[in-house]
Amino acid sequence: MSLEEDILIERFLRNKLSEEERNDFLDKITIDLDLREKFLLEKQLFETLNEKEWSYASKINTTEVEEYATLFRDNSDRLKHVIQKATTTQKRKVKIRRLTFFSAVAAAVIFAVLINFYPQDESFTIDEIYANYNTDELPSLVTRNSKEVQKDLTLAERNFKNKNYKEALLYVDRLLKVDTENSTLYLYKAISLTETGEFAMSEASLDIFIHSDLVDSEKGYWYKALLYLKAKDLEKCEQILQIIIKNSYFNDQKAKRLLKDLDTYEQ
Amino acid sequence: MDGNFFLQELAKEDSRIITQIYDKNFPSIKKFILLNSGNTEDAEDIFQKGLIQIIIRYKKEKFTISGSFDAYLIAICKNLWRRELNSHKKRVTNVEKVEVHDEYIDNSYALIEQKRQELFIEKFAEITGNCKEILTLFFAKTPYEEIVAKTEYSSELVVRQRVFKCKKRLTELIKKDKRYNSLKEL
Repeated sequence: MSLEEDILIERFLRNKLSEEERNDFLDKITIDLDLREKFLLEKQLFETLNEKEWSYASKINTTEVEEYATLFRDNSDRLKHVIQKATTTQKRKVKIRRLTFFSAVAAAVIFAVLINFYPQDESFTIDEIYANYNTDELPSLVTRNSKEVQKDLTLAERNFKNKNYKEALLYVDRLLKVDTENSTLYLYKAISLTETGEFAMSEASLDIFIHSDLVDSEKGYWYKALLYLKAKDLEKCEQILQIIIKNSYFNDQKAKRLLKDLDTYEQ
Repeated sequence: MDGNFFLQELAKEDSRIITQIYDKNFPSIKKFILLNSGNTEDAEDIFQKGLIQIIIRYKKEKFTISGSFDAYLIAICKNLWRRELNSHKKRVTNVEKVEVHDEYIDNSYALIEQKRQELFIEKFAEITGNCKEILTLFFAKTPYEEIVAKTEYSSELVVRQRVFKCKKRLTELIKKDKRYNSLKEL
């Protein structure tokens, strides 16, 4: 394909052609099958490698579509039933656990009122606020990497997700020695250190990330705010939140809400 | 336990394994969907669709995964939700607009689209770091002047030529893979 054709495809996909040029292009790809194939592949790449979009299939090998459709037709109802049964039992157990927990909490509150005990437990409230704001899911470590580091990445992520933060740190530290430009690794490290109470180390790690040249280093401010929240250093937490809001950094809207929640909490 | 162990056990439709998978992964899937305009019911539906897609695919082609099962399932569910969110938009450009009404055909398309995504991402991982960087910006529809500012390239023309070469390399790798024949648009 020539560079000119490439530019034409790109301008079509970026909606930069006039109506006339657009119609000419559509006519051209009905005749020029080679250009059509290139266009379709580039369109799929655009949609696949852009996280906001999705590449739908339309005219593909019908035999494969039908083979899968037959399998779905023959198995879906049974599988839905099996999954529903397995997960409903689990949901019930979770509900019972929650009910037990809430009953215990209710009993504790009644007890506290009866003995004229002041019912607000400061540490619980801050922990609760932390839990409410520590909800961003980190990107997976295991995609788009070479096989050499795949095992460590998998183990780092698995341990992190299972909340085995100390284990996760072993792999993350090892990975950071060979890849200092992986933003996600810095975040996995900082959160793991925060969760294990190693606040000073988490702070140092986030400072390295924030002062790095990495494109998303500003995310470090949000995790630093969470770190101070977890450490119950509300003054520092609020200072960082102000920086996020002032500079419209990552999660600035959340930062505004958190600041408001902290304000209410302090009053 | 590696990811393929869960694939094999899941394909046996073992309810204990399904409960274990649900317990471990549903909270993350639900959180993602709630943060992206969905509700708990959507999350349950997507979790179920994700598991069924994996089981059906395994029944037909006994595929393997290189990472953890959890990461794989979560990626599938995120893609299914991404697909759902985009479905109200035009499915394809004016070139070929296709509406699928049969649920099973639609599930079949979703599975093939997933396989195509896996192939593209796998091939993307094989190109050089420099190409990855510039194509990531390009496919995110970053304007050329911004790409020049963010990279070490001196002009838009140089960026354009580099993008052209990197795309050529990527498409060659994709076309060379035998899986592409059954996944390409006709």
